[in-house]
Amino acid sequence: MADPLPGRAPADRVDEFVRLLAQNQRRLFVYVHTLVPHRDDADEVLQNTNLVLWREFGSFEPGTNFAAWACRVALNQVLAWRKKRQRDRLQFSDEFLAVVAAETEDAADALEEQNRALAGCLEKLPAEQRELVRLRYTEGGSIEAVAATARRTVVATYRALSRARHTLHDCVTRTLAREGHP
Amino acid sequence: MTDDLRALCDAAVEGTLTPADAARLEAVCRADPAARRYLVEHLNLHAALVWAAADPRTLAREGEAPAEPRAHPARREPRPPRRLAWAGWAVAAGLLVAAGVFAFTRTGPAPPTDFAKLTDAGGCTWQSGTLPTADGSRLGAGRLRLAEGVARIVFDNGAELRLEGPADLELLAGDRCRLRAGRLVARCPEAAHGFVVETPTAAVRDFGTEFGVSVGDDRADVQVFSGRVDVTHGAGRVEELVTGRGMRFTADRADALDPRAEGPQPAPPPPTLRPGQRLVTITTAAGRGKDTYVAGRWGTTHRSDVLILVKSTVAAHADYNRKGYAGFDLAPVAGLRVVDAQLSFTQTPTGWGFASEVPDATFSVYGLTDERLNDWPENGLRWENAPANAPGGAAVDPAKTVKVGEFRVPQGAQTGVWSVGGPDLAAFLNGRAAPFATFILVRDTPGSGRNDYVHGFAGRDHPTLPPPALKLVVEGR
Repeated sequence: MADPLPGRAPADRVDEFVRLLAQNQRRLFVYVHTLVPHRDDADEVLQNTNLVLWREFGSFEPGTNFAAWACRVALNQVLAWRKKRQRDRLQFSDEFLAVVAAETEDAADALEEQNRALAGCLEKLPAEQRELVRLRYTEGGSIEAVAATARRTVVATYRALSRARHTLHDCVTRTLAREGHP
Repeated sequence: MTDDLRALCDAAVEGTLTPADAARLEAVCRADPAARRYLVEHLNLHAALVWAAADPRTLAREGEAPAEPRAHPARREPRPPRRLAWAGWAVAAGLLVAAGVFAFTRTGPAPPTDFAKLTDAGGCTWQSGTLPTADGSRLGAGRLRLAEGVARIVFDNGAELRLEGPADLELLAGDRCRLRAGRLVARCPEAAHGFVVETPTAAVRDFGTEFGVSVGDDRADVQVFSGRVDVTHGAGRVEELVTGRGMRFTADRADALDPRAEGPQPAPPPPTLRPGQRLVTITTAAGRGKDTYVAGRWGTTHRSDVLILVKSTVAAHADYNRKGYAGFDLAPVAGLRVVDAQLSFTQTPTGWGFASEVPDATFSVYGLTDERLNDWPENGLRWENAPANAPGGAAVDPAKTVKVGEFRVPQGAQTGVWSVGGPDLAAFLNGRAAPFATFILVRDTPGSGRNDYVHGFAGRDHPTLPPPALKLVVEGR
């Protein structure tokens, strides 16, 4: 294989790129999935984002905030992806998506803390709700598929998943409040 | 957060928002930073669950042992295969190119359909309405409540209103408004012919004029400074007024108006005390007094230690109803007869819900007649065990209560002192066997169910505002 690096990124920066991406992969992953809730769509945007990050890494200034830079690249990829989409598949307007993105960035530290508290909160979730979350998220199932597996109606499944998410939200919020975060 | 916002966030996460839902969610989040944050936290939680689910240790099947011992969650660095796959793939595929546009823009929220502009409002003091009051704001349909000052409102069709505080104005459309109280002067150029100022007793249609409208108790005074207006009043009768003329319109009459006859508003007379009578004020902060509110199932997320929260909403969202409870220690007037009584609540903003989703609202105050229930706990009172509580946002148990009065809070009002009083309240107080009185405050007027406003009244722990207060005229028996 020839030198895998594009011209603008010097060879000795390969390790740095891999290290920074690994350090920030959760943040970037969650950021894109926040703006694009549908999983397959979000994966597509993430792949494009990684390509651009790699290609543009030469313009990233060492020592500055990699996460912020990566999220900015990701937001542009989200907007570019939206342009190719049928309007009816998009829930929000571009303007409002920018508002959501801005709020996500403003709240980035608090959200990161919440996400760290999530694993502990998942453990505390009642077994039945936990199983639904597992089916919905681990198995990647649609609500219909989860409902069929759990032998519930679609409406009941939707409600139970909603309850589970709100329980988790309460839990992470409470956990942070207890740890003295705002 | 409200049930409606919850439901919208769920739909956003599951990708089931209808276009109407999406528009509503956008509007809510643009208006309310707390709602915006709430939405972002839910989208983020959903995203974090997708991430967590890819880690086999996080969401193990029930009974399955985690793959390896778990470190502290905050320190753990998960390395699930799926996610590593895309990171590594990105490096390997680095030669591929995708066009990236680095034009990061942060677009501000756009207002909804608007048709007028607020100008010259720099010196104005506003009470809470449903429209922006910053100088230069664009205005759409909604309510403006001006406390002090003169504000200019210029409609896109050229009509211009000067609103004089105190006034209560509702903008209805690009060529129509409704003056509920106070005064305005309207100037309508040619282009704005047909502009209508409604009042509770008459509607003024402009035909190229400058005219003044003043709305007071049950009447509207119209004066034409130049030009001509038609005034529709009563059962469709029309009066034509030309330059220099003025008329007063009540529900069933139209009389010539002499502006010189207008006097200042009379202040409420002080209570006249006869010999042997005195005035006593008792608040919930005195003696064994207490106050709190109870909320339905979800209401507890909007807690307040210093406010008495009151809300009544549609049956589908009954979990968000709230009712206020206020207990007064009557020991200072034990053995005395109450001649006259007034019970006051001081309203203050809560920041919860949309005022525009609640019309002018009637609040009822009930006295608790079943005195065995006076012993309710101030801390930990719940919907289920609250004295004389009944299902719904406005109902109380009629067998255990008596209504002592009601007051009306205009749409959008978030401050003010509201009172009930009179013979029913005095009779209730005189009928107490033990020196204690419990009142229940409910909102009779339900909100729309679309994140409608939660009214708040200062409780006894409020740092600055007066608590619920009984003003009593008493005399020896």
